[in-house]
Amino acid sequence: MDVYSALLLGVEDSEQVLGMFRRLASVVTPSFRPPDPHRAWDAEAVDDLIGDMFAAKGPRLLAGALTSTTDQQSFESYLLTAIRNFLKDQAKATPRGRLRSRLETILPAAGFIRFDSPERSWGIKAALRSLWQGDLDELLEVAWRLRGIVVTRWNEAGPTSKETKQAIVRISGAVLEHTGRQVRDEDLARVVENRITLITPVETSSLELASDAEPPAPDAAGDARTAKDAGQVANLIWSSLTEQERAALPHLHQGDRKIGDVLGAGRHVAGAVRNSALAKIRAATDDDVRALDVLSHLLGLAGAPDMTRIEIARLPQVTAVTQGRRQA
Amino acid sequence: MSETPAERVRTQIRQALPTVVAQTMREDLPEPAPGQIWRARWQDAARLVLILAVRRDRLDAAAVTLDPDSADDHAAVVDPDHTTLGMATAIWFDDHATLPMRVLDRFAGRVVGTAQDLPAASALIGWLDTLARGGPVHTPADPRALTRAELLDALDTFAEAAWVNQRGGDLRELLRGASLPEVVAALGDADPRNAMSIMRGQRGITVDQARALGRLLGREPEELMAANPALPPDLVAVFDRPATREKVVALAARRGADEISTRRNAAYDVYGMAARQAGHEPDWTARSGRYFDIVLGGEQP
Repeated sequence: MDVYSALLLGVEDSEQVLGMFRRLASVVTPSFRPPDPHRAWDAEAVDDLIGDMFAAKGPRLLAGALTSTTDQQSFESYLLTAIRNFLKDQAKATPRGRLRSRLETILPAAGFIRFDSPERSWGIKAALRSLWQGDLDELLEVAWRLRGIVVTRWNEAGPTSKETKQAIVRISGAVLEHTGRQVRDEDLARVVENRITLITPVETSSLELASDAEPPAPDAAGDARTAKDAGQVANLIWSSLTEQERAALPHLHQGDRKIGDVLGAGRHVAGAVRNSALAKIRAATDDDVRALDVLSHLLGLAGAPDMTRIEIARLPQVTAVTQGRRQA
Repeated sequence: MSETPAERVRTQIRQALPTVVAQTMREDLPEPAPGQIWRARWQDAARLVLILAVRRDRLDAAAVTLDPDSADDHAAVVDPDHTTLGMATAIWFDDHATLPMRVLDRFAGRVVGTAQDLPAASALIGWLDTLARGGPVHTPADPRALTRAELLDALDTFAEAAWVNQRGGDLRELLRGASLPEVVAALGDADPRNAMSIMRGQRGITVDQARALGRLLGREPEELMAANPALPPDLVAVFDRPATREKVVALAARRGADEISTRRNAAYDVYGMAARQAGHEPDWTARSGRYFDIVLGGEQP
């Protein structure tokens, strides 16, 4: 009897469950770096990963899968996604304190001012003495209206990369200008973290898997405003797309029904996948000409390389990108 | 000596399993009622739902997820103490929908405490509205947007769930060109009363019978199935109940058949047998119970 059926019948076979988790983890882990202190994905590293997942989620991990799936196949597919997402979250997780210390280093060098009263905060003019009291959501919206931010690495161990510094400075600048006040360093750290982590590639092999082309060197890529090659930006966006978003890319101009057919999903998921892919493209491209070039490269990576530039320009998502630019 | 990673994960799984099997996939099947949490399942969709109201064979229900971190501002975050699930939940009550009772599959638990004695949907929603919600989604790239889309698609699947054409068709008309002996022979049924009931439109046909009659009449089996007479609403309601579904699932597993056609065929079997027995309005609950006792007990109905 498979694990799914056994659990539905109330059979508690922990060895069978562990065996399934080990097998599923071995499918996902090659795309990620093993957790400290492991240097490779050996048996202990895999068990540590599974243990960390149970420590974080407890019974929810299995109960969520059991209540949301209909057979062993969909049960395993759910857990595979859960393992992949856990690894992504781990790769992107940056302790807030560490991020705040990054701000301490980066922002003064960019001309921002640190305040200690009335609370630890940041501003853009020394004369400012009042704290922003508004809603954090408003600051997040300001950050998400920014375009042209691409980050190759986020949770790196060494010095902060050039493009990450530029991204932090741009986001902080936009937020502080919007408020015209001091912003608590905790709030600013939250906004920077939210804006950057959702678009950051984390799978170590994704760039190699994405294309036969050479992956961009981290130093050469980075902020889209300075990147010379739209292909590099496209590679970075591609590596931040989910499997569903990649599958949907060649069909964006065919509507949600077609996307749903391709994904084997309903209209809401089709729309969500399309909008997410568009948001990632828009977040990483800073003008419409670049958006066209980047889309052209992306469609090549997605297996639709024969589209001409005219066909690409007619795609609704290009219009959406253009409109997004105007709104921003 | 410290615990090895293998020992640690074994302990964690052993500790998690009792909660998983006992607190989210329970064996009891209570009468569906507001405040209960069930697993809804139809075709390839499955989700926990909280029943907000029950109106005859329909429910007002909201999706429930077990990962509050995935909640956005359409969902209330509910403490572990407020449900019998023993873990924090997100209840997506802004997106509540009307669902047929037939999608209820397994009883998972219930809301306890504040809302336990509040049967009306408005009261439950009012209580949920007092709870903290998840944070808003600022970009479609936020994975929580996909989580909600998956829930909405599942609710759409549940809302459209059907196992029988409840408008009914005119099977009698399609069979008009065939003689009783031909129909009896095609069905391979020794009892001609069954064929007679079918030809009079008093009894529906199963998928296998539709195939046999399709060969006789030169028609597609789907066309014949669509022409089945409408089942009495009270019989459909009995077959929509979770307790009946549990038996249908067992029968489908035994026969290696899919659940939907098994439910339809069983309902038409019960209907057809009742048609042979004249008299007052059948007690569909008793007849269905007897039917499953027989077919699951290995006897012929």
